[in-house]
Amino acid sequence: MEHQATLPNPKPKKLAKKNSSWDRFTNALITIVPFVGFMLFMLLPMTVSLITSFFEMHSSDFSEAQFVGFNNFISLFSGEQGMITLKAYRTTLIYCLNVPISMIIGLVCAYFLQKIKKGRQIFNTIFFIPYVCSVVATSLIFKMLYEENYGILNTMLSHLGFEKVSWLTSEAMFLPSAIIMGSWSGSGICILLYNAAMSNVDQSYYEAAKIDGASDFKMFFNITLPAISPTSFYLLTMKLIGSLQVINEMTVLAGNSSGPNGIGNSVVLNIYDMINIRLTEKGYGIAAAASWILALFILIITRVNFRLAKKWVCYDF
Amino acid sequence: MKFKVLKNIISVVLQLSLAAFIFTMFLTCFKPKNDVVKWTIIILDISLGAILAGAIVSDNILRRKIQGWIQYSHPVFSRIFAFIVLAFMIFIVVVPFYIIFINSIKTTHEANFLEFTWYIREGATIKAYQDIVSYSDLGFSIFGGLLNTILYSLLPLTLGVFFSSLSAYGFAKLKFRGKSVIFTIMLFAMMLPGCVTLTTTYLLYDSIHWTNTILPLVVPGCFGSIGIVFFLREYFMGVPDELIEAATIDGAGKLRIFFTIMLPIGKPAIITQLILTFIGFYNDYLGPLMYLKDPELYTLQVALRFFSDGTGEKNVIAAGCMLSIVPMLIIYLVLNKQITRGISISSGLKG
Repeated sequence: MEHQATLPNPKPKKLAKKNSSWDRFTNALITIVPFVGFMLFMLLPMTVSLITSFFEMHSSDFSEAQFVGFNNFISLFSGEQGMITLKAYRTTLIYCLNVPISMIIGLVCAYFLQKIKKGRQIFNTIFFIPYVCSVVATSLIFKMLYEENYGILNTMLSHLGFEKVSWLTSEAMFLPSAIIMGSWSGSGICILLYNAAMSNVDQSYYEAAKIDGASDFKMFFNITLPAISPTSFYLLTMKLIGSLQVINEMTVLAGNSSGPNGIGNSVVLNIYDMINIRLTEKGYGIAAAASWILALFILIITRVNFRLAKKWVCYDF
Repeated sequence: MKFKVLKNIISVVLQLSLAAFIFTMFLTCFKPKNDVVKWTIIILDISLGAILAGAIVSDNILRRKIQGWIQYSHPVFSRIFAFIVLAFMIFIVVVPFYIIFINSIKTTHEANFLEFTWYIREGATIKAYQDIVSYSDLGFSIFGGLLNTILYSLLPLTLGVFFSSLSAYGFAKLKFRGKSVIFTIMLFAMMLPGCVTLTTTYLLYDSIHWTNTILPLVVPGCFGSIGIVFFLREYFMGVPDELIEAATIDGAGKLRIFFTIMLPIGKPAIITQLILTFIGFYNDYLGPLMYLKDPELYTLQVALRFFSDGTGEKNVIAAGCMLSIVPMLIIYLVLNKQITRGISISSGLKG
């Protein structure tokens, strides 16, 4: 009975420790596990990469590395290696054409998808299938399509009355073939995102435009395109960064070589060859230097992209 | 009313002729075999171009003269034309899969030595699949690769998604010193291009003798991925704080709250991330290529690649492609909604 004189609800011991330092410590502990993984598997290799780019290393024994200063960077651009580097950048930049092509395909398909009401889900599902297929399978499929004598494209062309084109064996047609394959598999996500973005546009804009007498084209260019420009910006940035680091498509399409006359040699493929086949000739140091130059290139392009974006991306819709 | 329908028929015809014009312009890229074809294409091109130019000019003149008409197409006609265009696109998407399927069923002689036809001439056979199962020359098999892929993905999937969701819970609801600093660093990390780590990870793994084992593929994934943390953090921030306070007053600790409140609420998002991570793991090609040298350790994609390099028979390669695509296709068709919703949300669109 005397216990009723005390406080009715004494604080349990656990709550008294709520903001204690042990509590905060365990909070931090469970939260930073992915961050630890990031430090170990991304930050650490990046710093080591920066350091090794100033050395010449031909094996994974760190004690055998010789300090060469900026020689790695200079030798990347001089002489025969310089020609290879420039050619690799040219190949990669031409391959990046698959980004605008797949975005345009995505725009057109999403535009027509908006016009139909019933089958939209089925079309969306089918259009996204190439995106979930792996690069290896897609490249093998296209290798079969592009085959010179028995491939489907060449048989159709010869039925229509044209000569057969050597898609993968001639230097002029190798990159366009790779671009076609890249846009085939890359359009899926463009269609998906553009469709979602176009569905979110306020219909009252279109009704007001129709009352003012606008044609379909005018409505598309003046209402739809600005309204979905954030999606376009996202797609452009992500796909550009991915396409600048292309390697999988190039390896599988070209088989074991690097394309006719070395034209399938993208930048990352070049770097990968430096540590794989030509290890004694080139080494880890110059490969690290080349990858940092590519990273710088990507950063510059991304920065330019962001700067230009202020002119054409509108977030006001 | 009559004029409106007529105008819309004309607009559909013009759209079709625009498509034909683009197609013929595209055909001029190829070299014609003889003069007949060449002149047909040129005449088609010029006439279609003339029709279109005339239509555009007359449309402008008409529009200036007749003000009262409303210019949009009749909805039925637009829908028909949209269906035509979309059916064409579906055709382009589906054709490569159909070719792979047909090639994997054809006999060896027909697939490799005869010209490609859409129908089967020498009778369907599953010999290509039997060949794959019995192919043991190269020391590995496609089925072994499939098994390996699934085995290697188990640990990163479970542990990785678990730690990522735990971390997302921490960023969303828990407080500790330096939280915003770490979060900003992780945000920044997502924008870094991955190519700089390509050579050095191989170098580092080689120096600790992890190459030719499955450890480089499994261990990084177990720590969790930053993309998943961001995705789930948005999700968990939507959980009302009162719920958590009520649980705390009832005496639940942090982990208990996580398992009993956060996980059930976040179940759809976590399932989506599990699926997407598995798809990424299944389709990964460069990692296994770099780190695995023993043929028995190959994953599906690497096995497929080396397998196709080894044989030249098209029907067997096609069967291998089918084996690698079909599981992913089934997963995608069944879990279609989660996958597309997950990708839409993680790229910033709502819903």
